[in-house]
Amino acid sequence: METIFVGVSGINAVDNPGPGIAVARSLKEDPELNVRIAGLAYDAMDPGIYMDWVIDKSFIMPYPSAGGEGYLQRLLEIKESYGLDIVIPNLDAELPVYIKYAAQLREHGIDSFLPSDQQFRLRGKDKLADLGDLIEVRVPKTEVVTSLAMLAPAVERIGLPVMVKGCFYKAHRAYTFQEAVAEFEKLVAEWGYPVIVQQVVAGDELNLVGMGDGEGNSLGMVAIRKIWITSLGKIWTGVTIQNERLLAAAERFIRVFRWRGPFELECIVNDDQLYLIEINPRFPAWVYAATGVGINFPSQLLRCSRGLPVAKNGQYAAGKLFVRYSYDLVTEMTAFQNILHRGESP
Amino acid sequence: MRGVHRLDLPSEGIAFDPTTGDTFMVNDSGSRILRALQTGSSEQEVVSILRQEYPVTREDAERDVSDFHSRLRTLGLA
Repeated sequence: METIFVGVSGINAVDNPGPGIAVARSLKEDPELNVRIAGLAYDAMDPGIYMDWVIDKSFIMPYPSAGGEGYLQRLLEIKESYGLDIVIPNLDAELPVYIKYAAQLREHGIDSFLPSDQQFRLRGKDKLADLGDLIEVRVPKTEVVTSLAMLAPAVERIGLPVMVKGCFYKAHRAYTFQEAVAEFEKLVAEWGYPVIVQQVVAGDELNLVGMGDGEGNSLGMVAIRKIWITSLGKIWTGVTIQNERLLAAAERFIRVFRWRGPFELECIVNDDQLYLIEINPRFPAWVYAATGVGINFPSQLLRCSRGLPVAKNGQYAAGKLFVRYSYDLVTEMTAFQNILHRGESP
Repeated sequence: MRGVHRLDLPSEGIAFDPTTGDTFMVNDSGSRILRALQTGSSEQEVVSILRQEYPVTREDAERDVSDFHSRLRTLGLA
């Protein structure tokens, strides 16, 4: 069986986990694939670096914001020294770089399965209101704020409390205008502009992971209800569901946008109304829940990009429990030293 | 009773709504009422079923079924 070298980012299995470990684990569970996982890390403390039963070898990457050329160069170095046939980027902030350099990477023998730059931009948090109409779901009142002066009128129009969200990551609820200003300034310092101010919608959180083939067809979807979340709002326990309205919205999203690659819909259901909160253009960290109910999206992605047969059965059972847990490991300090000094694990 | 029909009763004492992910705990007679409603029984037929299967007066059975129905409405299942 051919060995496929897969670069997987987001191996920060911390309290706000990246999707990388779930993606790598799913790939390793496909009995028809023989994969070697190259973990693409941004910090020597990313736990995935030390989880050698999931990540075969790890490499420290430059931050994508430091410039695409350096990033591309690092991927080519990894290809030469270890092997890299395909990359699966799992973090929002790195996707623009991967999309921009997708063709160049392909020329060097590194595949990916990503949306186009236009698709990526259309689903941005700042475009959510327009998108809701297209896929026939409600969207909470949302304003895009690009200066402190714009914050007060935006909060006034939406009404307190509001969610204050960064362009890529993080969302905080603000009950007063002073809290909104404080959260706004923190987000700008960390992630820059724009900042999104959104109406708070109460209700149950329903999320969906899906994948489109780029031609308007679905490669499967799995929905989950969050039962228990962490203080950061991340799912810790959930249950798979079959919510027809959510599944239909996802089908429309794939069809209307001809979406290529994985995505996550974050929704809130309230008195039979479905509100779309966010669309993430990548796998969610809970993607292993889908693998666990028989739809292995990371494997589907790899198969699509390599022209291998893709499973067509998109059926899954509702009522399957997803439980996240923490785990400890002890290893040699040399592993940490190696990654610090050489930028790669032993 | 559209909501009742979508409930899954996987084991004794549990009802699961696969659309919302809600899980409900129900006692033995509650499970019996749900199963009866799912097969299309009317409230009066459910009362009769309860009287046949449990030592209960018609008055108590009618009150229990009515209370149960109110609860289903509160939960958006009826």
